[in-house]
Amino acid sequence: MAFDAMAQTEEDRLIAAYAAGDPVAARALTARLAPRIYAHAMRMLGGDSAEAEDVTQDAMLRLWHAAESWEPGAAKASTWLFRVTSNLCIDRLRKRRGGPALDDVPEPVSDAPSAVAALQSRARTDALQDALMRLPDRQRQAVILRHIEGLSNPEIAQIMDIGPRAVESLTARGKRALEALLAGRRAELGYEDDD
Amino acid sequence: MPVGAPNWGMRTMTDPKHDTQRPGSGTGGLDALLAEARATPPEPARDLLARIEADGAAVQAERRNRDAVRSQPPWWRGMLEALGGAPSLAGLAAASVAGLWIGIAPPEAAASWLSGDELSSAGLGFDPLSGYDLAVWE
Repeated sequence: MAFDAMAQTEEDRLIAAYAAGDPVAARALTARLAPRIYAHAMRMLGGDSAEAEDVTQDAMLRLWHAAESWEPGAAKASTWLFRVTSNLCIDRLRKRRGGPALDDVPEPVSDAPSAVAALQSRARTDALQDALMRLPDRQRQAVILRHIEGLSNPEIAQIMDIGPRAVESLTARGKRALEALLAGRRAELGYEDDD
Repeated sequence: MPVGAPNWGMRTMTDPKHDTQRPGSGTGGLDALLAEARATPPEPARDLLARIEADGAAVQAERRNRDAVRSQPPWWRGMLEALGGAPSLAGLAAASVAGLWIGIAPPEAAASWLSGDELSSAGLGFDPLSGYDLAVWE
């Protein structure tokens, strides 16, 4: 059995157990799905943890309510959740155009020697996040799902409700735009020092 | 490739000028940056996970309560039990049928009794227009 099919079977089993009232299933589903959803929401929302938490909780609440009428084998719970989460994030982004910029988030300061490397790593992560936030919503969504969450094109097509060719086009354009946005920041982010 | 072997002018992965895995250097650099992001996902707070679990438990409890209400017997079943259950219903039905039958086709004895021959005040043993009753009406 393929890994995806195994994952779907396990998710279906857990959802059925949850719907039957098993409290352990709720914990297992939370541990399995919520961190991925939270990470996706964080990236989609530009690192706003409070909003990402709200979105994650809302998406999982929708899963709890959907569990009763869940059809095994119809859709992967994680794919379904990514779709719900992406839509919730895009709704929020549309509502809050002009929110706090990533540059306004204070950087943690530490005196430890390893802090330099940690700061450079953090700076790279922030630079990527900053560049991602400059992409149009759909391009950002496609790039995150494909290149950070590691989902397949057919899965992304399901999540975004578009065809696989449109996914390829969005991810390709998104990557090109990211390259252009990050091209001038090598020295600033310490790439030369890391190599 | 062995050291010193000719590479026919082809680019190699270790050629620093064409090292596409360095962050920020072309597509490979971006791929490395994306891989770094993939390897270090933002972690949710334990408090968030606890809230999500609590939501899950609350929805389960809500469903249990709803199912319990659905499985409760209907109101008329309680009344039936108070009357003595299904056997009493059979008795009640038999009495109703008998009453209906007597009403439609009364037996001879009952017909004469109901016609009034037997239904006199003396027969009944009381006078409906006694002085006491008239006093009460006034």
